[in-house]
Amino acid sequence: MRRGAIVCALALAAGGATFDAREQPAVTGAGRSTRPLEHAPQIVDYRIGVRLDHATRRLEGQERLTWRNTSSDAVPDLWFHLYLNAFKNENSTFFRESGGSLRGALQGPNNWGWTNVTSLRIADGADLTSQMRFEHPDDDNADDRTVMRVPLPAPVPPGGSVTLDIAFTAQLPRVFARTGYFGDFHLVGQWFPKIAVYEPAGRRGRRTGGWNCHQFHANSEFYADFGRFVVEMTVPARFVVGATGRRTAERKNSDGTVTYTYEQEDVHDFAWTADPRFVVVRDVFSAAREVTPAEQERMATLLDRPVGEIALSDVDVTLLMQPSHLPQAARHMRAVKTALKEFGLWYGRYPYQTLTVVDPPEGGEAAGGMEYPTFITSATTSWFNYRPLDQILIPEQTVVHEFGHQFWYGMVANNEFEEAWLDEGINSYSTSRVIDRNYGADRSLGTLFGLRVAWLDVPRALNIRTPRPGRIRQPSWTYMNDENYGFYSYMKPELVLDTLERILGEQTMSRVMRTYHERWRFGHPSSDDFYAVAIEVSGQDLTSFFKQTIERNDIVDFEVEDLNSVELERKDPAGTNGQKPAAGVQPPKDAPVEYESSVTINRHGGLTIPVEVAVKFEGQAPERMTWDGRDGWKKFTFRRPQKIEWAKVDPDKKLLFDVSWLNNALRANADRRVATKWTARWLFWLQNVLMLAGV
Amino acid sequence: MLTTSMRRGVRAIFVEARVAILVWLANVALALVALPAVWSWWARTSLLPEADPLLERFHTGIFRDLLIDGGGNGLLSMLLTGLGLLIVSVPVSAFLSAGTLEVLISDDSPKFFQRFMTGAGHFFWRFLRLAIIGGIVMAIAVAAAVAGSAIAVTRLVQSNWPPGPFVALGIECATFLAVTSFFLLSFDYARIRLALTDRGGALRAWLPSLWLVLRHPLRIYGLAVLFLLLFAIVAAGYLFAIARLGSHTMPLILAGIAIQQLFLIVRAALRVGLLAGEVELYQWLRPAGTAAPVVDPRPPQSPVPLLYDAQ
Repeated sequence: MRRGAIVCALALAAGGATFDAREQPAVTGAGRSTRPLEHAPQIVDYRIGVRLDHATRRLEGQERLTWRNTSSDAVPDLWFHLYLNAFKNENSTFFRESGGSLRGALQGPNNWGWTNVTSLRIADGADLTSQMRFEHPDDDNADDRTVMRVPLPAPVPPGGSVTLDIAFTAQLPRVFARTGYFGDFHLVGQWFPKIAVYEPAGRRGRRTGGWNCHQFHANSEFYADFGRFVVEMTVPARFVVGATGRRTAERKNSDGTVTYTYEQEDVHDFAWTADPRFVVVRDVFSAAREVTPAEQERMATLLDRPVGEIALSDVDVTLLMQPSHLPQAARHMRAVKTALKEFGLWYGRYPYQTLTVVDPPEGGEAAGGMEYPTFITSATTSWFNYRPLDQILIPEQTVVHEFGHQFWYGMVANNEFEEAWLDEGINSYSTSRVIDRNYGADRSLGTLFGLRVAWLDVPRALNIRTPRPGRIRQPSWTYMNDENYGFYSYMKPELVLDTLERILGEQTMSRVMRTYHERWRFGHPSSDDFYAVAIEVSGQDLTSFFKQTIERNDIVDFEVEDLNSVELERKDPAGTNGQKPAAGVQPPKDAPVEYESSVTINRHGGLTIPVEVAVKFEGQAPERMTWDGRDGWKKFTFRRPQKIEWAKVDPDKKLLFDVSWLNNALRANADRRVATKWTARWLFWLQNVLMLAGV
Repeated sequence: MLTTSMRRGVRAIFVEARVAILVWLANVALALVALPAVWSWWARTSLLPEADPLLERFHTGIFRDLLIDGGGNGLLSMLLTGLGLLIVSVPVSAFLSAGTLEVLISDDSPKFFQRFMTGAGHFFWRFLRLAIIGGIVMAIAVAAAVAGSAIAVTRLVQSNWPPGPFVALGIECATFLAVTSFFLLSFDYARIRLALTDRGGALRAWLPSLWLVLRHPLRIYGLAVLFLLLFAIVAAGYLFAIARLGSHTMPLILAGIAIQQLFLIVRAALRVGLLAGEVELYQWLRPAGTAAPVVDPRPPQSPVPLLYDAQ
């Protein structure tokens, strides 16, 4: 044991000495640098060799992992994610929570997947295989195998590192929950033993340092530390391969396989794909060609930055398209370049050299719509190849959204288990902004036979009067069901952030978002860190706003309940000074009329927020006033020579999370044009159907 | 023969305009049953300025707000009303088609309305039975044919050929249209056979008509397609006119309603014209074993001298 301990200590020291020692500015807590980091802290170094057995869909892997302890704690053990074990059997936490169904795909017997660590040892040191233990920190499910803990013979000292050699076998399931195979198509994600994140005291509000390693839940995604990946994949020669990062080597083997080597720094995950049917489409996002000087200057002014800071880099873009979707290649490429430009100008230069977009086949849709560093999967169908269905913008929405994750999940890398909205919600808001500006806000979901559908209608449609159980900020696996997870992680945060933009203005909000991204790039922030940046940059106290919208599930529905004008007694202009005329004396008929008008505004729901009210009197320009929204209702009264014509609450539609905009306005006199038009149209269609069935 | 039938049909559009108007009026009467429910649903927008963008085009967001602001139940009752009207339209259609055929087939001596009602009353039950039984059989046959075609094109759907799924959908749609049109045309010729011969029941008239359509597909489908083309031209004209009309003022909205109803009248007239052409075609084809009825053109002599004759 003593000899083993000495060997371990030497290995630890040796591992630390070989680690990349680039200087990094302060990256923790309040002292965080205001300069965006060019490189991530190099906490992990993965060197993986893997062979795909196409017949059995099995991966045989050898992993050399070096983990660096950047905390001030001596760390006695290591925690790992074995995500594929979520698909091992019916006893996993994932299966119990999902019931075997997710994103339209079904799991079940003859379709299991798993990761089996066959050997784990310290490099040139102790064999820790027998020390591996499965943990279940989130629930009481001792059968769940997605979290593994390995006690170390000696703690990793602060600033030290440990290098492990891990042998593993992974079974890919038939494509389910983002990963697996369908026919010859393979999407290999979350496939290797991945070390968890050690959070030091002070990060994300922690009082003491410790591992943050959650089980794989039906409604959770991922969280990992940054570093470097060098992966060698050996596949049958007929397969076309794509992966995270850039291809640095390719070697034909004598057994009819090919070994591809991919490398990427400053990332926290690695995914790859293989399919003999892929059609490779390559292009370059050329910053000089895609971004005009005027666009750069406009953004520089908006963000109050030197133009040089807004400059973007060239990126090699690779599309791996299914043959049946090839007519959509141009659309995909346009969406990618639009996203590279818009996100880059807005948040900062995309720092990687490559981007790969994978198009899963039909039947493999469960692998679509997902993000990995420099590697995303799209979602489309051959129905969208041709008119009129090519006007439906689902491929564009998916590509822009999944690319957007590069800036949030990929670079900011918040804990998606505990605060999914910081990735999905912020990205949904960002995606809508990009799509609206480049494809048209009123048709951002698509156009079909003249019917335009805006994406904004979707989250608004789901924002109903009865608050759904849950709130935006809560651990992803604690939502009542998949629908609530989707609403609170994606939709409602989008409405909240869009509302915040309308309240603060485009300029301020752009600066908030850029500052947040730059400050927390490679930094694992929490919701509180986002609030702090928003408050700092906007100069406004947004505490109440975030508390009500993110921390609670309050809703609001403003309504103009009533408006009316009552004629007051006519005044006699000739000397009574507005007092009542003498008994029996009638004021002249041409005496000016005065009305007392009132507008009653209701606030339904628990969310209190100041709101503007606009009122228009006949023949006059609209007037505006503000209501603090604290009480449940407010009555405005006016004395004017004119009758009131209409009243609107939130006339600029700033509050996107107002449940209904229709009741935000009321007019005094009925206008039956809409009713007449649409009654006639509905009856006309009814008549056509009856005539079709008749005579 | 096809040209003759077509000419007869086109002539009937104008000559038998009264029939088309009658059909249209019946259609309007049915639709008016739904008017109160539809109007009250939309009338809520009268005081809501936020609904004004609906004057320009349909907005899914506004429609959703209308639904959650108490419109959900109303929509359900409107759908149920529509479904009820659809069911009611079956006997109404039997009545109207019987009257229409009587007018097209008989001569002009009795007055138009008398002829119409005579035929409608005489053939109503047989036409209704044909519609119900034939409709059920058609639904089963169409479902089976579409399912069969979906299976047949599976490989096309799963192929790597980019237009594959689109072509597969086209084949499935063509199958649906072919089978549906086959049955619909057979109903027409069954009704014509019944109206001309006044012999046998609905099924006895229908089965030979199925065979008739199979034996003479080019002529029968040819006539129907010609009228379909006419309908397509009228529909295109309607869409063109309604798109350019605008609907932001009440006079424009009322003009739009007038155009819609004019379209429905023309549609009814085309239907009458098609029936007239089919009668002409049927009489020329006259399937074997179906002798033309002997019609004595002279009314029976009354033994009682007519009073005006004596004068």
